Amino acid sequence: MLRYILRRVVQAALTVFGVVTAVFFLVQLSGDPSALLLPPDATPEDADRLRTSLGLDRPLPVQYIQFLGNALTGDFGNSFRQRTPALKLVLERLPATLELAFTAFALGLVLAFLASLVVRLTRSERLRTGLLWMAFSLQAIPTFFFGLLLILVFSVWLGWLPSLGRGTPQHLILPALTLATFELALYLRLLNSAFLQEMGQDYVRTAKAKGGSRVRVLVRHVLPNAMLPIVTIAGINLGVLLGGAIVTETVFSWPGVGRLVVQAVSQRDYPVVIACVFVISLVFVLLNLIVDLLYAVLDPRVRYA
Amino acid sequence: MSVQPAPRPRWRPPLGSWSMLFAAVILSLILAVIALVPLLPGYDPYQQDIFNSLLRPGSVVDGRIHWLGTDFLGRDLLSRIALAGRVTLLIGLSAVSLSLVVGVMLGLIAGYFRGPLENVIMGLADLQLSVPRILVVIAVTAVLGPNLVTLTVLLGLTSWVTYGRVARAMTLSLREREFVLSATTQGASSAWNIRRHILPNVLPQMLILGSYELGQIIVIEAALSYLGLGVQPPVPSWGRMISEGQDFLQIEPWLAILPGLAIFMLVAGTQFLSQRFTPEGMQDADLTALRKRR
Repeated sequence: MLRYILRRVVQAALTVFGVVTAVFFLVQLSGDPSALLLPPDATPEDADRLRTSLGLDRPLPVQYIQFLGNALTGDFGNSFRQRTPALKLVLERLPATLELAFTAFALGLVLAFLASLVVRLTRSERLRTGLLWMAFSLQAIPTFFFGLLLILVFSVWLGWLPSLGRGTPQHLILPALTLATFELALYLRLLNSAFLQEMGQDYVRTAKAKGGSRVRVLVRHVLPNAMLPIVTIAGINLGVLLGGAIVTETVFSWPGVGRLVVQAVSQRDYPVVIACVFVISLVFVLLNLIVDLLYAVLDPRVRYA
Repeated sequence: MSVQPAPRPRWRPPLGSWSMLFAAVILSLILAVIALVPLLPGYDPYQQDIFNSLLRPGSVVDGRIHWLGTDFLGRDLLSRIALAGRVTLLIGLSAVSLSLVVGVMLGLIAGYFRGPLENVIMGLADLQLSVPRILVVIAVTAVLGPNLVTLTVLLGLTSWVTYGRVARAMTLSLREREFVLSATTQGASSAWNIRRHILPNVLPQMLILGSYELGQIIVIEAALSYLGLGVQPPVPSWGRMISEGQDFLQIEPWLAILPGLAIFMLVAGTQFLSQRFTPEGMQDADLTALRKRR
């Protein structure tokens, strides 16, 4: 077990290292930032001085080591636009993104579980196929378009909920629902097949034979087992969720990291882009690590080879 | 003793089920729009007419019918949807082909030769999976600037992992099969084995994956264009049309709804149809057949 944890931690660290390296070479591709930083009437001497002060005149391997060192200490340089440390800008926005992502995550899971339980308890084949149909259709609708439809219905037509910004719990409802739908669709499909599979197992028959009620058998015996594939997929899917958050935040003007990175890209504010990529990847890698460890605890059958 | 009459076989919709029929119908509809609208006389996706902007569907201007109305610059919406569909399909099909070729090649190499090469390739796949695909595309777009070719190549190069993993897994078991071993004992080279024995067995599965991935890529492209980082104006794209329409949601919601519907029809159509051939779809089809037989 300890070896497994250690291996996964090392793996996660390697991944972050890989991301940082990729980002470094990406920055090299972007060319000379001094052109972007200096006013148009600057002399070549000014440019040289700036390059020296930024360390751009040193050999590439030295720059790489320096970049790694700076990244380790969280120094990604200052934002070209706002003249404040890029990482600080990103970290200010991070709580909003996490709030959105986790609410959506929980919402998707809870709705999927409730729907699947209702299907199993009512044993309605029509409800089952109806839900699966809905799931398939939802997966074919782009997140941002679904968000727009929600805005249209609940903000424009009904006027119940605000369509943009962050602040009150009401502001959270539409973006979270938007982000949750993709997952909801996936979990509905997974739970459906997981339930079908688990219902045929011997332990279910035994539990029934012992006189357990249907609700008890489902909730106490089947549910924990059906949850396993969901946990795995949920971990993998967190990336999709964070990626989806980038788009969803723009739809609803949600002040998170996703909106920041989109703005930074259109303003060519590279330090902020880099810091965003770093932070999102780091969060993603950490979440995956946690999910993997959780998985090992939940399922003793997982071999930690 | 009375003889029970044999139960009449239940009528089934064409293509086996309602969902397949539905998928086929919406897919044919949108493909027809994409293919045929540019051949119609009123087709012009670029001409602006500021005095006739935001016209309702079916409006007639100077004898020219705007079947779906006009956008905020007075451009014909149906023409723009059709052209955007062509652009999207071009990007989607090119990106899928690229990722399929790269993925299958790397997967075959990793699965057939094993060793350190396999570790490197699979490590690369893991690294790629550890960052959201859309973030990679956004980051690289930030540096290289948005344009059609970059976008297509990026989408292609960031989508090979699915093919790579499945191709590797299939190759691992195929290379131990008798028909490969027998070829090897008769002196077949690795290249021959891969080309003649393994690739033909891997390819069908890859094409099914590809048809599913096409939908995914179309959705990602639409999202990027919505963010202003994908297809650049004046070339129309469904994503950008939706973001332009969002400003007019209060007065003319169809500006955003119609391109969204187009995406749904294309993506849902291809995914429903490809779903039929995945293990899950097969299982569902088997279950249906089983139930029918009883």
